[in-house]
Amino acid sequence: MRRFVRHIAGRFALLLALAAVVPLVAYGIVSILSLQRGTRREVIQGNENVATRAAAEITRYVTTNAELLNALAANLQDTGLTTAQKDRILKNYVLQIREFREISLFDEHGTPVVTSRIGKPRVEIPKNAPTLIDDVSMSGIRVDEDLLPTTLFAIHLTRLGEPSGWLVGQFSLEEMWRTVDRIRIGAHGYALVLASNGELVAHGDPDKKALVALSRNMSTHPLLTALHAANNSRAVSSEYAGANGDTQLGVAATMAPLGWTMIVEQPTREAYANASVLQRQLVITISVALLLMISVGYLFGRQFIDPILALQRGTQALAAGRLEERVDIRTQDEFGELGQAFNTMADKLIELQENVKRQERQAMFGRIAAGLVHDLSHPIQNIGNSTRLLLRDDVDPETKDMFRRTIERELNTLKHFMDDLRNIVKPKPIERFVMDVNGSVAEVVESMRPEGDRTSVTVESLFAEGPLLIEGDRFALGRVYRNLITNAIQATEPGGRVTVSTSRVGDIIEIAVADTGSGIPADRLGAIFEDFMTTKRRGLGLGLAISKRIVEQLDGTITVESEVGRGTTFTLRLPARDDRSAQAAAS
Amino acid sequence: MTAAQVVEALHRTLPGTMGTAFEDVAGIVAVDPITVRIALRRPSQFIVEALETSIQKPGSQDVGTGAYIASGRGASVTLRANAGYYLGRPAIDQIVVTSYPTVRAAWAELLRGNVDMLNEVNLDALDSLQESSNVGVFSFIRHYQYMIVFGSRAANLRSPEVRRELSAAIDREAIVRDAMNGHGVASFGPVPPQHWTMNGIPITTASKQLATNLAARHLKFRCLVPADAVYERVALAVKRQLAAVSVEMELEEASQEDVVRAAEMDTFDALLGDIISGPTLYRSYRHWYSKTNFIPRPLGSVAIDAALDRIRHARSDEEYRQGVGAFQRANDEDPPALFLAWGERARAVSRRFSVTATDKNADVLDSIRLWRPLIGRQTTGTN
Repeated sequence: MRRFVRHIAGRFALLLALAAVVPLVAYGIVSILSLQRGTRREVIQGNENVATRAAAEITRYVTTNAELLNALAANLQDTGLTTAQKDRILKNYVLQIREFREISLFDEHGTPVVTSRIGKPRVEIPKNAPTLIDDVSMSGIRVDEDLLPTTLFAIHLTRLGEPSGWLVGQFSLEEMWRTVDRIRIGAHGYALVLASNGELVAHGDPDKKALVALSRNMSTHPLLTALHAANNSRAVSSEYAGANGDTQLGVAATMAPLGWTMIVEQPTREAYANASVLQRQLVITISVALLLMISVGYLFGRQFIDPILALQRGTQALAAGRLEERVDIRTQDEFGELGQAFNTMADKLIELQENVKRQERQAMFGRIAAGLVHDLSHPIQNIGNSTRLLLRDDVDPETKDMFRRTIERELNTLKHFMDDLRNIVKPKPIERFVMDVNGSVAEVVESMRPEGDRTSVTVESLFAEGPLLIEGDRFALGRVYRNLITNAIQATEPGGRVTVSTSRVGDIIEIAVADTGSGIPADRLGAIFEDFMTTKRRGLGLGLAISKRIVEQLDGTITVESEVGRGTTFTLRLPARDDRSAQAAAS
Repeated sequence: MTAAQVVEALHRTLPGTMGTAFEDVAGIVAVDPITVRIALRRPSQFIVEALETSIQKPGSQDVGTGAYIASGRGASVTLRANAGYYLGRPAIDQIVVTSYPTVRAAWAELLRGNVDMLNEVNLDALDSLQESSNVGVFSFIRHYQYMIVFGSRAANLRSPEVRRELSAAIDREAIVRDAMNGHGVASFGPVPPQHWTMNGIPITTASKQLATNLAARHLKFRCLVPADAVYERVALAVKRQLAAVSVEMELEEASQEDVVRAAEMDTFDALLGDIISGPTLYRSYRHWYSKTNFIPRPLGSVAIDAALDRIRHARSDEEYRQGVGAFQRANDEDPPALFLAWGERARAVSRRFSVTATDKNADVLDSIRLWRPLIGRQTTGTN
């Protein structure tokens, strides 16, 4: 994550997420939760309203008819009607009010007086029926043999304050069924009515009518339990598993005077279908918005980050030395200006590099020229002087011989100088022979001592117990030793010391040339083995480069340690050769 | 079954069922083992309809000429598919007919899946039945109609004028609405309104003035009413309507047996019945032709007899139609009964069967041979 954030693209994505995605997702979650709760509340409230209204309608329907029977009772009492007139009234009444299937008048002893029926009354005076309204009591509801829900209304008649008979009406509740059937919430939301004993007396679902016919007792219905727990409050709601396993949203409303319960059930998947649709739409909208935002953010981010990355690539290319690299930023904003500035800077760098190279070439040419002048002028001058002196007649033969040797030596020096130059252009092949390092080093040290003596620099040697055998080229290595010792002597102030030592470390033979000279600055140490690199005021700077090439051709290494003011140590490391034959050959 | 056996069966049953119409038959002979020739003295429209008589094998109680062969009697009758039925073997192999004491009991059995069809649901229970995913309800107007048939005992009802006035006093639509809860069709005569001849024949409704004449007659008669809720409501509705014109129709509840007995002995003023009146005019002929032996015996009318004879001997559709028009008019002039309403019934059928109806308003039972058990929902009940 930290690595991710380290990148500007990661930071930009994080910024986008924090600034837009997270708020949008949070908004979506809050909206969905709010939608769910709000819809649920509305659906429950709506279903409760339906149940409550239906309960009130059925209650009103029943009580109104009870009142009608009560009014009929008033008409039959103390009105002086003959039995025939009462008979006609009852018969007309059942025709007029279809809900009454039969109305019969009994005297106080239960003997039928008149009835709406053509034959004998079929109803009896209900015993201990609870009072519904005023003087009307109502028996329990039941589904009769013709599959119709009926109940009995009974009114105890009085005359002059004394009981004088009963008016009993058989009341059909078909209208209640029709009311229940009319209640349809969605496609699968139905109403049902439970009697006071929990018996199912009406169901709006055609497929559940069988339960009515079977007089199914539903006193364990979860809503009845909830209603009782709520102390028969006006309406309760609950979610529970239906008969077919579907979760049902149910609301129940009491029909207080009747003791019945109106229940409205609807599968939750349907009840909350709108919420689910809205929720789905919201999720899709938010997802699309998120996708859009991420896409736009990505595109915008690309536009924003691409110039930065291009600049980064360009900078890295410049750092890698590819100065021809350019950035292609065509925006009209600051990035565009930055790109142009970068390209201008790169152009300038090339120009500067060319200048530097030119100056370096000039400097190198000067240095080479100076080196050539320095290195050649002295031998040439010596040769010239010796030649001139050699041609004089006043010079004795012995002196002439000395001049001749001087000329030869200087010519030899020039030859070596030319060999060095040639070796730079075309290195000589190395010829390997088994050789003793101590011996070859001693020869060179001895030959260089006079050079040290001239500048008051002590050249000394410390040899490890030998022989230290390697496979090497005696002449090439001698050149290396000479280069290193010469450099050491030149870098050492008079009175200083140059120490050449040999040692063996495991399978490696080490030859160290240490001086007590001025040392090499650390920033130049890395380049001292390059061609034409020198710390001296004069010279071509080819010695160390040639030395390094020779050592590496012999599978060895050359390293340098230096401290300004303390001196410098060059160390050669060459693989040792220890077998007897080698020793024999060396000897 | 041979042609000779059919001839023997027709000779045995047709005289009784056709009554005087059998006079049209000159002879019934077997031409060969599979051909029966019926010779007529004159054109007779009813002979074909009368041939619906049961034809049984000698020594067998089973009727074997329909789509199903019935066996058993009483509470349980089994109908077996007739493989030799001329319109093809029915798809349902066997039908067991069982009686239930109440509609509720039968309906509950249907909903439980123990019964596949509820044969007939009466008017009172019609509203309580609803189609569901398991049960289809098919209602239809029956060929039976509620009517108050007049007997010959009551002298004050013998006058055609009185019966016309009584008929005019009846508000049939109100009866359908109040007593039948809308499940019926008002009836204005013996001919079913959907009969092909009724198209174009005007329905005569008597004037209110005719009905008000009754007020001065102080008419009173007794009407037998079978013990049934629907009969009772229809009777009460008629009673109230007649009472409005000062006619006192005294209602007397009677068992079906008492009603039949009174009809046979002609010891009634009037009786309320739900009597078959269709689908053909042959039914009307059997009921209302004065010389038939139908119970209850019709009051008899020369005009009705003449109209029925015109239908009986019609040589063309037009003559037939004219005969029906005359029959309708004769009933208007001299009504043998107070035709009230054609009743509606319903049959409830399990959706385990594909029910094919020949007509939208027809009784689906007519096409029971075409019903098919639905594949994959084969009943395990007693179909």
